[in-house]
Amino acid sequence: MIENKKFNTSYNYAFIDETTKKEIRRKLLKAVCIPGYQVPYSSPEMPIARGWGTGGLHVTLAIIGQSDVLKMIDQGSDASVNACNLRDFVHMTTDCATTFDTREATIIQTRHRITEEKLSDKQIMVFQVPQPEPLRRVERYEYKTRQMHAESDYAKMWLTLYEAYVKWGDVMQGAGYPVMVNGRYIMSPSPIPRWDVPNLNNSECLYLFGAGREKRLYAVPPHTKVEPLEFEDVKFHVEDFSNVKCESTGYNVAYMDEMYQDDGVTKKFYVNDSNFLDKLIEKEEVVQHSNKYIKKIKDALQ
Amino acid sequence: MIREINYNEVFDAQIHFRTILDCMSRPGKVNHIGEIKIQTPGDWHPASALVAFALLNRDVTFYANNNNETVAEYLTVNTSAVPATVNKADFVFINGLDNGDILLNTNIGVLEYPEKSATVVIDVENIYDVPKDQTHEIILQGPGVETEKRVYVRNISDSILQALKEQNSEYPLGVDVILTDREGNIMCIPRSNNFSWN
Repeated sequence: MIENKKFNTSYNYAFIDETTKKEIRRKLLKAVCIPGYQVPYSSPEMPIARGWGTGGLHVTLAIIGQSDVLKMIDQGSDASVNACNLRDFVHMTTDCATTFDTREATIIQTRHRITEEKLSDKQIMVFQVPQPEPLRRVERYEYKTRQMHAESDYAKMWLTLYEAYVKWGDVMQGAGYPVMVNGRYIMSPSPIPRWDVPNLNNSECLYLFGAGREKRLYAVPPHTKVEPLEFEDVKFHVEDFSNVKCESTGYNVAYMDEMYQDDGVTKKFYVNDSNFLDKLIEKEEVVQHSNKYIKKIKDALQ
Repeated sequence: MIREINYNEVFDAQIHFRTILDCMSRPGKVNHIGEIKIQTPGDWHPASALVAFALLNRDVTFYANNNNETVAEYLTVNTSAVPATVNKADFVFINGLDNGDILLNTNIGVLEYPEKSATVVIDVENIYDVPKDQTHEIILQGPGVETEKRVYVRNISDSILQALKEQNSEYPLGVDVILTDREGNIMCIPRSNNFSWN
């Protein structure tokens, strides 16, 4: 068997080679400079298939260093298969520390959730994005959507929202509700629930988005205006959990999981964010994101 | 020509990139880029060279205004980046006291691809986040800034600031600026930010 004796490891630090990392880094800087704009990038090959979190992984591996503490979540949970495997992979190739505690983490890679706990200016949140183009539902060709973004021509998008209202009485888009970033670009916030969308607005931390299969990067810097698309008379609203309660904690001002029981009929609800749930159970001090929708729910409870 | 040996292109580049990323996402925030001893040609700032080391490679082009040939040679040797004219360069290195006309020639991208524009690295004397004598007060507003942010920069000419304002007047087109000072501080003005000065 031929052994590689020239190097201690057969791959570079953080797996991706330095040339490609530099390319991703340059693109990330441009993405931060033009909030909400999708920057095309190389999307190098990874040991997992494109579309399984490679975009998030590229971003994480391009920014991570030895002093970083990584938290990896999938649908709010630290323990799901996607999260565990990606965490192991990043840990193996970078030797960085890992954690479940949201507050301790410096980089949080996530699939389809924003943490329930408020994030600080020392933290970076990295999203895995399946479909970065919010206009894809209304226009199938990339060269046309690019033109539409260039000219800020979003008539088709607004019309689709209006048609949904006419047909169903509400905008039916649940996960990945389109948002307007900095008053210029319509952006897909990745398939996060509506509950999380207002937390993108005027945040403390930096949000980075990577879409590996579609080869796009984009970003929302801190303190950026992010507004969900809504009409003057038909407003955006978040999911309603006022009639349910978390089985473990009794709390309901958080995004909830619906768990069907063994009989296949009855269901129970649990707080979706696993670390937030743990902290509630342990009765630890935990600061939640605040936005006008959460505030309204909390005011109604009092 | 000097080939830098103190610089670790894996770990130093990563730390410096994170510093630049932090500055770029929080315009007006002054960060220190670190204490690596490198021997830049002439009076070119080490901090500018470290920014270049973190971001440049064979895939991009650059233009160095001051001391053009020595800096160009130094950058080519250390990063393999390719020298180009100012209107084509991906990275443009200038001094804060240069004439602003040079900035007016930089690439601002096209509407479909606004990211295909130049990043401008400007050497200035000092950057402070508290008021000091003989400085320009730059007031920033926009993404990354909560309400407004004031920074104080010594040795940046009115003509450069004027030219930058002109280049960035048609958002999303424009250039993104990284200021570096003698002591290794850096500060960024991305195109998304509106700024004024006095």
